[in-house]
Amino acid sequence: MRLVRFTPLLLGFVLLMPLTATAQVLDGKSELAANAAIQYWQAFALMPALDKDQEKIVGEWSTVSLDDPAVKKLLETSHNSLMYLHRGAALQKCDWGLDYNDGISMLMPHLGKARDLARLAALDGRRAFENRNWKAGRRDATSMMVLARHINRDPVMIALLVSLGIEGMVVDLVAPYAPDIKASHTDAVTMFEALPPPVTLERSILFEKKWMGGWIVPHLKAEEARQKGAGLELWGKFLDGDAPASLKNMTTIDEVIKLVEDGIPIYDDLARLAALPNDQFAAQYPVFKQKIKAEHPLAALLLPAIDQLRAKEQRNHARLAMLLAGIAVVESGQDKLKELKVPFGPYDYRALDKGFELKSKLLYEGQPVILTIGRRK
Amino acid sequence: MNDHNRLESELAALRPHEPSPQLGQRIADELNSNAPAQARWRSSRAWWSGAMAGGLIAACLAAGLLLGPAPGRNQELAPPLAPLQLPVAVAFDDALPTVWTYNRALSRSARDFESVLDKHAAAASAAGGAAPHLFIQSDMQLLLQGEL
Repeated sequence: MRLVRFTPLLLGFVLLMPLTATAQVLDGKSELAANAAIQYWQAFALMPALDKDQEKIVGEWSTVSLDDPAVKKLLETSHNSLMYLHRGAALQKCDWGLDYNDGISMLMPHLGKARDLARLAALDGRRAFENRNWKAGRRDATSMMVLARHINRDPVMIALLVSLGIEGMVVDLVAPYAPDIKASHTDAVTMFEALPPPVTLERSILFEKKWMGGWIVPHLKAEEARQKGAGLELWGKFLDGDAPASLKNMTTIDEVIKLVEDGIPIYDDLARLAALPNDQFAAQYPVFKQKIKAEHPLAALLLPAIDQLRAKEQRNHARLAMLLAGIAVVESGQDKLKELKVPFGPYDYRALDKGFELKSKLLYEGQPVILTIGRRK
Repeated sequence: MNDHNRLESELAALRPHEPSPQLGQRIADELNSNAPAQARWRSSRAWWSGAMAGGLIAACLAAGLLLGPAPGRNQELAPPLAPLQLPVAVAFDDALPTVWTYNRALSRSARDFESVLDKHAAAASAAGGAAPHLFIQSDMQLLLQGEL
């Protein structure tokens, strides 16, 4: 009799069952939640809305006074946000759900938010290190590195740039405290090699060719098909005040389309150049750039400054390698540098009051890239 | 008076015995023990009705989803759906965090790029207002009452 009473309820549940198919499994976690981006977006949603003073604090996270009540309050209100950062960083997969078909219109609201989240984590990590809470500080640093690599998962050039910025913050966070943390070099290298792999500039350039450069012609044609003259109007929007007159004075959409299509193969040349060793790049790129500027005025408009991006990528690479080398020196002494195979090395060592300095062979904006390990007196 | 009339008179004079106090108590006891059963029966009937209603609603929803709108229905009265493709104009709106906006900023300078990132992150924070309310179990009552 009691079973009969349950029958209509069971019938109702059976009909509703497809809607419950994605419910959480018994351990409280869903497979669908194993996308780090979902955790990061919760972190973004929980970040405090920063006023002007707080924006200044996070912008100056490496120097602001940790005893300032405003800093303490900001970190208190960031606690939940940082928790979700760590949860996201513990996951392998990250998919931001971008639709590359959106081309140059593709919205990337997560970039600015990720940078702010990384700054909050850097501030939190610095406080942890100051309090000699090495474990908490290292967790912040590791999560920031993973976030950087997850941002870079989509090979869009601006994502690469934000990713490099966050990795730079990690170096700035850890380097001053490396002599106190006394981490194992082997463990540090293992952690570093376990990170999601970075996307290279070369791959970003080829991605931009397909999804950004490749977006333009179909949309010009579609606009022109929608309404005569609308294609040229759209073309006008691409041109800012500095665009060459030859581009502004185009009178037919067919001229514009031919110009764009002729410019697309330049991406392949850029990708090839970006992958060259430094000396060859330094020799070939300036000549290439001049040639392109004269023959393809569109290139200057559409193609990003590859030389600047490449320089930043290399500087970041050098600084990360120097940080790892610095950890090895703290552990085993400066003679350890002779054994390490490092990019842009060998590094020159110079002792300081409370630490030391490593200088690489890489030049950035004309100056050698240097990393200070430990804090100056 | 004949015998029949006398019998009738005797019968008419008969009165039932007054119920004993014990009988009254037994009836009261019986009524009290049946009350939960009756309440359960009423509750069971309400549950049955609710489950059936829920099942029927689910069936109607499923049918509606599977069968779709009938042809010729007045769809033009429904409000237009938001487009699934981004309008081209979005690319050139500096207030939006698009690839084009960031690329143009970067082509001007790295500082410009950083400023635009800051601007968009701040705009998102301002739009979102204060940190979102964290719903907890005790909010359930408020939700049920429609307070939120």
